[in-house]
Amino acid sequence: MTESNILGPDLEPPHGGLERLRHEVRRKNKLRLTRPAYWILAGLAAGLVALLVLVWVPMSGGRQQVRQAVAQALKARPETRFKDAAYIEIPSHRHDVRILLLGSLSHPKKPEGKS
Amino acid sequence: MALRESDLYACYQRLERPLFNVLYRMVWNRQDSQDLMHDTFVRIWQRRNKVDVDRLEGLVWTAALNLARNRLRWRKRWRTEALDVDWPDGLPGPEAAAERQVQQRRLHAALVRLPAGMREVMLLGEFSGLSQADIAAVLRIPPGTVASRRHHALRRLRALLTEEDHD
Repeated sequence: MTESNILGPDLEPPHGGLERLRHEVRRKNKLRLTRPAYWILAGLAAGLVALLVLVWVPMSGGRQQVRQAVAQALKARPETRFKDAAYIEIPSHRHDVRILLLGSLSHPKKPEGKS
Repeated sequence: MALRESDLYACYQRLERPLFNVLYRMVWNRQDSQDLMHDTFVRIWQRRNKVDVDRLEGLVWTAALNLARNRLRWRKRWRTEALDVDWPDGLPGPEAAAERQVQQRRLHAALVRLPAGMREVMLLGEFSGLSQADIAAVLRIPPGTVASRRHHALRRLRALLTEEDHD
């Protein structure tokens, strides 16, 4: 009895194996092409969010501090009257120089008559 | 040189039949055998930048055998068995079908009892078309061991088949 007899006949593989492989390789190639685009978009979006946070948070905090300082200055000097604004005097160390920090208390109005 | 699609498909066409015959006699299921072949080539394609085209065939055999061993381990763990009854021999009819089913079950029972190292050497020697040195490289054993294992495997398989006949 030879090995060939012992191990049975030479079998025909099922059809469609190569087509299945081609299809899978095409799918993998397509995924590989589109994957970097997703990463770039995600990276750009994350960068944009980080930039907004870095710029907007200090700005909003700074505005809030100015408003509080102006409101305190108004309370401390009841004789001072500004319409929608106030000032704080900053020490200048010179008797002939006064430094005033002015701040608006309201949001600027939008110009009327424009659509 | 990195692997190209045309190299992969050409290799698939060359190895489809021998690979199927070896894998089928390891996992005993047509669909599983085809899935293993498919997974082998897909995995190689995913690592195409690291694949040396000149060593592609050896790599296919190594990867396919590893996947088949994993499948067998998985089956053992989950106690599943997949045996086809579609052994083709060109003989139609219920008697021929019954006969080939018996033959297949005998061979299956005998091959399963053969140590894995012997079984792989024997199947590769019979169906792969690889030289003794190539089989040794695929299985990572010395070339001399290939010859001796093949010899012992054939003797053992004959004995096991004879036992099956007596049972």
